Amino acid sequence: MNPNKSDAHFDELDQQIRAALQVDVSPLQIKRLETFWRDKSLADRRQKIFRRFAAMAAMILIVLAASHKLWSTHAVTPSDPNQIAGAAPATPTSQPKDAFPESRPIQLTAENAHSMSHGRPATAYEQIMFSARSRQRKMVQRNAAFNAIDNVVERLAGDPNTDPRQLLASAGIALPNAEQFLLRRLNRPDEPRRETVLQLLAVCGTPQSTAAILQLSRDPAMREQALRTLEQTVGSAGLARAATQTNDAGLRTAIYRRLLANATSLDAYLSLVQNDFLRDEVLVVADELPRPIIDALLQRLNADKQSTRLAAAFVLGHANGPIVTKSLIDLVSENPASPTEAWLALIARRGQQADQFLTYATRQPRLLGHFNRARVYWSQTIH
Amino acid sequence: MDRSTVERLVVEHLPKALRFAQRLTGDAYIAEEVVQESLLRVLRRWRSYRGDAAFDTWFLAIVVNVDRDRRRQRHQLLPLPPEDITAKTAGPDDHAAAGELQTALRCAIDRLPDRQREVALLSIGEGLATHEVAKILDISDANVHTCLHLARKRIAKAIGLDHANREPT
Repeated sequence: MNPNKSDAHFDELDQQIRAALQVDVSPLQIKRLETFWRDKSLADRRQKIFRRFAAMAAMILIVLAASHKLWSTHAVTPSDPNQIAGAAPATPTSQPKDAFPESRPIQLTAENAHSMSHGRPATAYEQIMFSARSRQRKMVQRNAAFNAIDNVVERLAGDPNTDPRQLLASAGIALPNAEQFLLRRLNRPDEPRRETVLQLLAVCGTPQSTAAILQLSRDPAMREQALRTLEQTVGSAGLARAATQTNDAGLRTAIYRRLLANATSLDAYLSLVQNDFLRDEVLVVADELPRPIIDALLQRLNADKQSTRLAAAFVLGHANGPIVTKSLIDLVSENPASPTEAWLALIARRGQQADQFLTYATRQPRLLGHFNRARVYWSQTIH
Repeated sequence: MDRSTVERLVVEHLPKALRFAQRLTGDAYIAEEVVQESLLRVLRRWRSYRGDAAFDTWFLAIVVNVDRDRRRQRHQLLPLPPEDITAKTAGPDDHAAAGELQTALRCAIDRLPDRQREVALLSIGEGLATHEVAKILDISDANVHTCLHLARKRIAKAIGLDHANREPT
């Protein structure tokens, strides 16, 4: 079949289609797009130039650092080695070749009375010996600190009601050192006092403990306490950041649930909702929300930061239930000029109640404009 | 091809791209967003344009891909009610009979399967040749002919056009 021949009688239809597809392009839109293009193009050029400069600067710094290191390892030595030896330059005599040149005793002078190795770099042997002796001293100190930490752990395990902070203070160990020793114990695969170590880390832990505690959180038996310790150590924001650092999906879900369980950590949860790569996963735990959380999210729709409002809209849009839908409908009905994010949440809802209201909104002049704006905003935010 | 030439070509073809995007999306605001996203992709990929095809062919291919991505993500949106609340592509005289036919044609085009709709818009709407449409959509010429034929048949049937009498029934 020759398509061209069979389509010949569609000419009139084609004309009608072309007429139907006739569109007028707004000069204002063209202008906006041209401006957009020029701005983005210029920004892209500047970024590329900046990157090139940064790479060149980094190369220069590396070369300078390497040169400095090379120069400093070859320390300045006295220019006249004979001054150190205190001997005059040996002059060859007319003696037979197998005779040794006459050597002179070293003559100490005021100039060379100080260390004879002044300015000479340490030999390899000297470096090793010095390091070994220093380490020996440090090892003795470290063993004592280890023992002290072990005592603290055993005492707390024996009496969990003891104040961990007081125990650490009474042991005379600086908190940063205590943290290091506790992390070593935690990293042991057969550590019998993991719960007690976590109790102590909750007191003296810093963001440095995050990786070790996260690793422990992979164990479902320890997950609850480990996440509680992590939150006490680095706060809700730190816990949210930790979720982005693990590839354990079960652990991430546990973190999301924990953050969404309290209104105090809600902002940390919303920060994860703002992450385009994690959003779908983060929203899965928002299927059923308790009333206090719903109220907190509705309040967030009026937050100053747009990103917070938008994240709250995503969560409310995802959460199921007539309570959320009714709350959103009441919100936009009483005040149609509510933040656009409130409308977004309603648009994202599923269910007959939301559909009916939105259909109603298309027929109400006082609601229609806000609904339209929200729809445009929606199409911008999901792309 | 150097960057300044590409930048100049983009500005020259912006009206065409916007017009095409409006036909694709049926909404002036969404069309502008689609073109904006297309411009960002042009910025990222301008080096891939080697000048072996017309620039508008390359540009429109990007617009088509952006629209496809947008449609894939759009499944969460509510479907539009038949009385379209967004900007129409028809003129202000859409209450006349001719306007009603155009509205019906527009709806019929919107209801086409994606591939047929794209072929129809490029072939009929933009007036591009078969090989240009094939290059934009990355399909064969024969596929373009087939899709166009099917699209016309569907549109004709949707508006009640009787092929034998060539009159809407």
